[in-house]
Amino acid sequence: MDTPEDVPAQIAGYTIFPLSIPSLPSFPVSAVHYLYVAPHQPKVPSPTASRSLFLTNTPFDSTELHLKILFSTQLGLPSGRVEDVEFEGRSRRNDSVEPAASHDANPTSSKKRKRSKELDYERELESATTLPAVWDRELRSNGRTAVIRFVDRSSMETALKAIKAVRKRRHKPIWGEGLQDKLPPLGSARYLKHHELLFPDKSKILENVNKYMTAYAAREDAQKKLHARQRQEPDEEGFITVGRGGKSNAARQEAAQALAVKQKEKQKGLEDFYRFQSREKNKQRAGELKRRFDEDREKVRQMRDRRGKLMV
Amino acid sequence: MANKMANEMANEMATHQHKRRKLALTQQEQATLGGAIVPRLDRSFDVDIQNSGDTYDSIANNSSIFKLKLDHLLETVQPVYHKLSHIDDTLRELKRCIENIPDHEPMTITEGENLMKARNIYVPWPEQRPSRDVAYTVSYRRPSSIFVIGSYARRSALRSRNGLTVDLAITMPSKLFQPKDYLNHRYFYKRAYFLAAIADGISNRTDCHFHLEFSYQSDSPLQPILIASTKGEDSYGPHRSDIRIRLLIAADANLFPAAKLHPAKNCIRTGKLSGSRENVLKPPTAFYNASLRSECLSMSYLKFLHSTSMNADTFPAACVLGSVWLQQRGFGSSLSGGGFGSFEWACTIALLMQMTDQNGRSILSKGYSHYQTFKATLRYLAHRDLVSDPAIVKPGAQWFQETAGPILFDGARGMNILFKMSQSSYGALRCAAKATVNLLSDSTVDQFESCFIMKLDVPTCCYDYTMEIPIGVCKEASSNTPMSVFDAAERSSHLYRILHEGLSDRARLLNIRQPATRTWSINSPANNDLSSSYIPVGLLLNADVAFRTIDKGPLADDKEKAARFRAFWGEKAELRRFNDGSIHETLSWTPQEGDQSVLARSMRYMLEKHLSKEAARSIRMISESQTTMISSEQITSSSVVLSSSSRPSPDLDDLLQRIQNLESLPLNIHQVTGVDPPISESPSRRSLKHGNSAQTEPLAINIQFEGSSRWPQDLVAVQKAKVAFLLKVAEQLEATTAGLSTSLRLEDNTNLFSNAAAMVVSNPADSTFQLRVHHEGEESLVLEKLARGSKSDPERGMAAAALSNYKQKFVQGPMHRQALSSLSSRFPALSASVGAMKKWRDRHLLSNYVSNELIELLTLRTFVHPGPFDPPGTMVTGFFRTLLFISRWDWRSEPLILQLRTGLDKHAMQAAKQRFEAWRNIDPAMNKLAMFVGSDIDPSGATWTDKKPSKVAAARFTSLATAAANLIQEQGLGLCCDDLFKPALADYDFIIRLDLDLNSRASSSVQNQTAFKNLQSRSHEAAHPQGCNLIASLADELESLYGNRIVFFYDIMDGDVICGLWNPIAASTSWKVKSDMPTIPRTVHKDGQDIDSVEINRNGTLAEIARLGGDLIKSIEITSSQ
Repeated sequence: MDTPEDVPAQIAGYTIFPLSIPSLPSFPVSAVHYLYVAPHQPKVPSPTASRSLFLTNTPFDSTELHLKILFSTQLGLPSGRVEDVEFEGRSRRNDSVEPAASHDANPTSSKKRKRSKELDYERELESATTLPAVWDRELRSNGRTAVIRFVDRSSMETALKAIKAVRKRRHKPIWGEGLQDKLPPLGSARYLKHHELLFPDKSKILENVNKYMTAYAAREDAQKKLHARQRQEPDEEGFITVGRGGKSNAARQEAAQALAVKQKEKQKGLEDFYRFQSREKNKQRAGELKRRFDEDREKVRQMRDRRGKLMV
Repeated sequence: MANKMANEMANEMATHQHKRRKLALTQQEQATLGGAIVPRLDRSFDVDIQNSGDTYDSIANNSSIFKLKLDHLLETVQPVYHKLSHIDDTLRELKRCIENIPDHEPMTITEGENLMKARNIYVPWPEQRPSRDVAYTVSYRRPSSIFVIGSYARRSALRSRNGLTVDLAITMPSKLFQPKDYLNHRYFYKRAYFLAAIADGISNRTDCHFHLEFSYQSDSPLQPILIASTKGEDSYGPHRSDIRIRLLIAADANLFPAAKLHPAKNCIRTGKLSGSRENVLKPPTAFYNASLRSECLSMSYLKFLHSTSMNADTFPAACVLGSVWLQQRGFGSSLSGGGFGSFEWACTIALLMQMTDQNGRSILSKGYSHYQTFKATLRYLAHRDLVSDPAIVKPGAQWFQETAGPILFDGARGMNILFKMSQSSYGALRCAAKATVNLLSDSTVDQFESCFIMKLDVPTCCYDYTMEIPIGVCKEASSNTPMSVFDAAERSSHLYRILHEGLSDRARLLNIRQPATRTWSINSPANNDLSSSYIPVGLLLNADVAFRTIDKGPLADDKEKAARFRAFWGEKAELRRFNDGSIHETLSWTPQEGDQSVLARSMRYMLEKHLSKEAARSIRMISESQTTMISSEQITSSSVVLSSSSRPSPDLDDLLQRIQNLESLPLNIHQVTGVDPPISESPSRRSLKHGNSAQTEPLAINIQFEGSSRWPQDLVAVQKAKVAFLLKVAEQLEATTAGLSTSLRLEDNTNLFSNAAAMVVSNPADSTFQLRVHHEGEESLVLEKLARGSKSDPERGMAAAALSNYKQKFVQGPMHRQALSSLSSRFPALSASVGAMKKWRDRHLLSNYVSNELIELLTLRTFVHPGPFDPPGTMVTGFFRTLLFISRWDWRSEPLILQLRTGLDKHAMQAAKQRFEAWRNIDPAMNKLAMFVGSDIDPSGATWTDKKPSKVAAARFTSLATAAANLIQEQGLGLCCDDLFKPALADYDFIIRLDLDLNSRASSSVQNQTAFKNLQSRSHEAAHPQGCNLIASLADELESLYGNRIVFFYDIMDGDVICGLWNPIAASTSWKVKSDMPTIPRTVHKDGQDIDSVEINRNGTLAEIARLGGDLIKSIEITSSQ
């Protein structure tokens, strides 16, 4: 349907990387997929940005393996140049790494031991939050972007150059070539596996839950202690923080609310004490009625317009 | 000046009367009319405002809208009289034509007939032609008067599709008749000749441009009339609508004494004239007498009705309302219309105004508004049984005769207004009136629409059970003469008697329609042989007894009744002793034979016994065959109504008990509730087809523990704790009960705030249940999260989803199920109708947009707010009416609010209405909520329709229902139900054909094992967990991947396709870094600049879909031309 010649070479500064999609018996059309590639320029600069490429419009079934192969062998570059691939909505592995890294970055000397203990259960909590995965392979539905980190800047640049050259090649790289057997398959096998994963081993779940609950209890405990300390110790300016968890706190609040309601009711009784009050009320009501009548009339008119004329 | 004074006086009187009536009617009004009465409609609003307090209320509630709609209706349905002056010209021309016809000399019948034949006119003799040797003569003389009568003259005509009909009464001069002419059709023979002479006179004049046809007035062969319509070209300008002028024949009021034509007299004397004593014993000829009498009284009734409208100025409007009401229900003055049309309606009102009830109060006050008059008249028709308790206005003579039909006797003029009504049509009228009276007291529905706008003459929707009987087989086999209207009437009343007796309380109403007659050319003999026509028969059933298999007849001791019962049923009747020791005559039917329900077989038996074998064979049970087609399987005896779903309650109760008895849990169990299963779309069908009962959702059980401060105050932790509880419960259940197996099923592991897992329990008897823990604190925790988070916060979105999930699973879901199951025991046909609706939804590939609960609520509406009908008694009717409702429902501007509890909860209803308005205010584009479906148990209205159906899907839902409704209405009794279920695949952009074998193989491999064996032996490769529907999983994933740009349609139960529509709005967009679909880059030239934009890569997308589906997809077809 679209020859790549109709397609511009660049869009919004992104180089266009056409891929040919192998046709399947169920859909015997050879389609072309377009990747958009540009040097990575994150909002928050990172040390690795300079040797990374930013990709968007990736196919839904992209995996790290797909892109690694694509950006090395399939582009005609030596393999092993791609260090890492990071997809939008990062994989968990990266997630758990990062807080640890930030923790290492700014160590606070005095409270280090305590903080690290705190972080221990935070991390425990974090890791036990999710139950086992129910899919054997994640699909890229969200944003379809990815960042490819190369080993050095020059490989990144070579890759970008090679991409630009793809336009002139007769044969576009074929998406997922030779990977069929190396990844969990799609189709019925995927859904069968999914149904299997939906019923995890109970003991594993129990373990997960126990781990989480222990960590949760530890955190609660720590927080309680912190609050208790705050309630007792004045801070630098000599104030004592009022926090939750005091003994009679909740009860007092309820009582105050009840009092407010009572007060309101008391005031209510006086609303038609004077004659002018009731007169005004009547007037208001009449006005309200007239307004509503007009509204109704308008409604019927609209209905009439919508329905057209009735024929019996 | 005088006029003004009179007006003022009238006003004052009206006010006075209004007040008095208020006093008289208050209790009644409050009880039955609710707020729907509109006091004094002809006043402007300002007058009302100045009045005392009680009128405020009438404006404050719905009634003001009702009143405005009513005014609009009156405006639109009536012709604009001042624009119709050309009609008067036409009428004058016609009159001149008739007056110029020369007189004929008296001649014998033969001579007259020959004369007409020579002029190519066939005299329209009534029924049988007169014998040629009679002594009396026929002749023509100039009419003594010609008047416009009927609704046009009374200014209460309706504008109709067929143009306007004007009645012209031609009064025959009395000189033509002799005093004894009322006997033996003599009057009618002379009249027929008179009519032929007029036809001859008009057709032979060159200056008269009328097209003439003979017809029967009210289908009665006694009264042929002429219908004159203006010929093709018209000289009256382009705006002229069609006019049909009916030339009716009238006679002088005093032509024959009223007493001779009293309904109890006999006027057709066969054989020799004999003494008066024998006369009395002859059967009265009420219809003949009344037909003759009505011709003499045309003018009197015109005057009577005119004077009534002089006295009560709302009378004409009330007549118009009545006419609309009757017309929408298919009633009319003719025999085929049931014998109750606008004339009878007007007369009834006029007579009721003169009548008083037992307490001496008049039934209708002249001061009533048109709507009040309308309603009170309906109430009178609904509540007074005029058959057993005839109404006689100003009795001139005492009533002394038992008749079959209803009687409303106008004593002053000596005529029974309802003489054309049969027992069956009277029953139908009363039933319709009752339904409307009920409707008008139900303030939760749109009364106006159902009362006046809806067309209710489609038998398949109006009746629970319809059939057709060829009238030919009802007559004696020997006779070969053509069947006249009277024969047909006799046959159908015979049929009525048989069915009425035989059906006893199975049916509430039995309506047998008369076939209609046609017009015929004046140059040919009348041709109204009805013997080949079918009589449609409609039944309203008592749903709970209609399909019983044992008919308990009279006690054996009651000799007289028992003998009668035996005589009727023949050898089928047998004596049986019942549990209470009594011995009854009994009929017993086998529950199922072929595809015939008990009802069908019992009717066939009756007809065979009392008519003929042929009759029993040739009767067409339309509902029966429709039921078969809709349920597309062998129906079981009760499946026409199909009783409530088979709930495996012993197993459930057992499990509930076991859970209650668990002891060593960390918290005590507060409550264990079993949630009733959803009504499935005919479960047997599915299990036949796939050998797979696994796809039905297991029964849900919610466990609620005692409140405790130990529940965590964190949402994620709560979900974890719930899982821990589930594991504990499962462990203990397995320990205490042998043969029970449990397994944990993860539910939603992307949303941490939502319920994480359910425990699937299956007992040795192979029924499965889903256990979940319900923790009440969850709601407040979610709400807290919602209140805190900012709009863009992903946590907020998750919390919102969690909230709706929580409500569906633990609050609204169980409540909905409970309401549904209690209502389906109240309405036996409900669950089957729901099943049919679900099947319809699935066949039209709407499974993913219209939730089960939404379908259930829509179907429920047909039952709890039946509108102008009674609640449906069979599945077919419930199904059809639900489709009709969906096609009419304008969800853009109207909420659907149901009353599912018995008592009216005004507060909840009001709350729901306000919610609807709020939704439309914050989301006028209906992106989040298209259909608002609330109820008194769920005023939020969005529980089951949040996001789905989207606006597009909802519009498609409606348009499919409209197509179905049109089919139902157009095809009527000839409807082929299969057509309703054919999906229109050509409408979609592409079609994904699925490999169903793979799916069913996957699910049937589960079937071969005992449930959850796989969980004990996980290592086995081939094992697939229960409830495995690969197609559904694929569809789900497609939707989450491409749902923003493609609208997918599929049948989740056993469709072999997934269809898609490209969202036209999202086809081409400006460049964005993030994309949710494969795109093709484009450069668009606009305003001299190149703008980067992208377009959906359709082939790329379809290739992705093909990769995702893999072996599940057989092929992808692109249907659209692009």
